[in-house]
Amino acid sequence: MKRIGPKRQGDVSPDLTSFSDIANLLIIFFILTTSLVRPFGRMMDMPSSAKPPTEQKQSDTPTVRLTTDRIVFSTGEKNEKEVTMNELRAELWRRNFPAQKPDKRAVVVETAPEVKYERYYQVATAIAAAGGVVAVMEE
Amino acid sequence: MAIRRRKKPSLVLPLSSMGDIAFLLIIFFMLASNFMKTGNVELEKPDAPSLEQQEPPKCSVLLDKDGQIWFEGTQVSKGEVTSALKELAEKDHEYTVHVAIHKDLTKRDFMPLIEAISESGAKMILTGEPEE
Repeated sequence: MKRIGPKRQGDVSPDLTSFSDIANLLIIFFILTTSLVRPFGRMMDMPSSAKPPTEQKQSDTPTVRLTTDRIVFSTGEKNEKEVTMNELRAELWRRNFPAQKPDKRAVVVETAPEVKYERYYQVATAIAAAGGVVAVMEE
Repeated sequence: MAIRRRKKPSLVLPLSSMGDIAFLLIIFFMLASNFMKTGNVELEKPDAPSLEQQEPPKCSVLLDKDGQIWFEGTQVSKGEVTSALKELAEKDHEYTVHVAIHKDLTKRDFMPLIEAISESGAKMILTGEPEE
């Protein structure tokens, strides 16, 4: 007589190779679509145009006049000089803006229409790095 | 007499741990990455010294080589950027926007955008490349 017993189950082992395929596809997707690089930049403190700087501008407000080939720094009508970018940075640091009252931190930037953004950016970030507030002046 | 050949042991590579490693990598990428929404935009950032490394952007506005504005990967007008940022800045007063502008654009092209963003009330980070 044949003995009846519990049927022996075969080994249950799910095929996992396709799982790793999916995982690898996901990794490739993330590598292609993401960026781990943290951008470089400078936080800009710019008064909104609701408060036009023209009204706030005083005679001794530092002003940077920017054209395609020249940078003129002035702190009054008779006190203006042409400077290089490094000299401008030194002038701005000398003013020690962080120790000044907020209304004394403004630096007016007068930019000629044909000035490229790179040039404006270097001046604006130099002002921000020195603790100043960039005030835009319309011509 | 017949010589019995020794049976070669079958070579089985355990692949289940590979899947575990792959999933760990996926989790790493999901947590550590921020999506590039504007990979197709032609933009060269300006160089400047004294730039600081910033947090990954919550929101970014780009002004490309042709003067087109891109807000979160979508091409928009200046008015649309201002109204969208105004709404976001009203909810969160510390709302920060990363602004990237092509380095060769002139004041006529970039200044209206900078003014529009400063008008919205959002804090602005002008992004660039650190000068070496």
